[in-house]
Amino acid sequence: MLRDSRQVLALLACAGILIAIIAQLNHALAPLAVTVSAPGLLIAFAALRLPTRTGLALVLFSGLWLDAAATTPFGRQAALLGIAFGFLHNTARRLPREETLIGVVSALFVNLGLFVLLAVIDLGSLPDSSAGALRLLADLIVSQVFTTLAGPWFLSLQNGMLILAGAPPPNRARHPV
Amino acid sequence: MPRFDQARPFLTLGLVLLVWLVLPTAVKRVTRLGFYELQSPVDIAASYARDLQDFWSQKTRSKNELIEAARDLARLNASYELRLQDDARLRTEIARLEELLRLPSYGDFRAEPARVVRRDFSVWWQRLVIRKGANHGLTVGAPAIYSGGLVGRVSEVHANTAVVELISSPGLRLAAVFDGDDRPVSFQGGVNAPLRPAEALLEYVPLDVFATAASPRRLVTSGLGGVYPPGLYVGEVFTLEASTDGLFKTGRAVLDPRLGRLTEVTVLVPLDPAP
Repeated sequence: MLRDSRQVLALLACAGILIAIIAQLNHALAPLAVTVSAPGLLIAFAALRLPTRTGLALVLFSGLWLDAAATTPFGRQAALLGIAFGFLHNTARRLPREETLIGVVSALFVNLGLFVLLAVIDLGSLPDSSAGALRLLADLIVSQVFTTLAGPWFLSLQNGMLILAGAPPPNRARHPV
Repeated sequence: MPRFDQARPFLTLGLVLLVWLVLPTAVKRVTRLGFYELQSPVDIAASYARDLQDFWSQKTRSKNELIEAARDLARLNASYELRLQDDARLRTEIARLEELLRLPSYGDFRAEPARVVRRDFSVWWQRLVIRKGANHGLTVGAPAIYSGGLVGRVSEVHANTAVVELISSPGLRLAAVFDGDDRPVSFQGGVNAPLRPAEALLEYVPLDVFATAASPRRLVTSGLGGVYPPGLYVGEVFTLEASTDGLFKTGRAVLDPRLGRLTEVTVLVPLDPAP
């Protein structure tokens, strides 16, 4: 239990750092009208490396952190991240989950999935859907580039933070399919 | 058993969501405020770091540059002094006409300048977080302006920060008028396409109003509703076309690109807020 709490707190600190960096990046990119978001990075490590309860708690807290600064109903992003966590956590059994490349590729797929889901849910509510789709596509491209570049560093930061907190993730062998 | 293992994350999530749904709204509100105030110091610290960075970069300027800047500022101050005198004369004139015609007077505002902590421009919303909040007397709904005109209105107020929803945000609507025309039109923030200035949508434009790329029309606030003072610059209209019902025109207003680079805004706090 104590180990789980330490893992969640250490990884929440990492999530806070990433969210702060992305916020500053978006501040700088605002004149170009593009936005970076990397929900996949908040999920990848938790879904691939942590047990269900710890990973889900971390993902939900990270989602609430994002929700607090958004105009969407509080809890919506947390729920979406939770669902994405569920899918990735189930897929993780068949993947070499300790590899950085797998973590980054998973984050890219989660980003893509969440962008498509948000487009399906919310695009109709915008006053100009076609312009909204174009903007969303541009945001997706920028976000995927950011995830690819920052992914290895962030996964390594999370791993390092857990070792520093004295609660490294279990190093499990791949389950047979 | 493997099948149960696969369903376990979703079952746990379902349970959490169920608990979340039955939680009282007050608890959710307090949780949201808690998470917001938790990350607020990070944003404020980053904005102070940016200010410090600006300060040190200004320190590298030569004395000649500073002398030139001071000379330009002195000229600006002189022109503003003249405008202030004119402003006082116009205010007296307005007050006299209001009394003569028994017109209701426009609400008065107190100007509260605030630094921009963070720009948050997504496809769904465009907002600015500013470094002043409830502790400085800011109220929800107060208009925010800058040297180029209207920025938007305060949508959330926290202890030391406030959120300003920009006029380019799809969720913001207001009544605007064309410069030199007193008929109101509906203005709604649009979707900001990448690498282009923000745009807004116009509806209910009278049929006898024309705007082309060669002769664009300025759009200003109407003052209707009492939220925004009248005459604040909103945007420029280059195209208008007949709406599908043929009764009005619709169009797009191009907003000032400086809206995306704002570092400071002034919030107009109503001196006599509506009850």
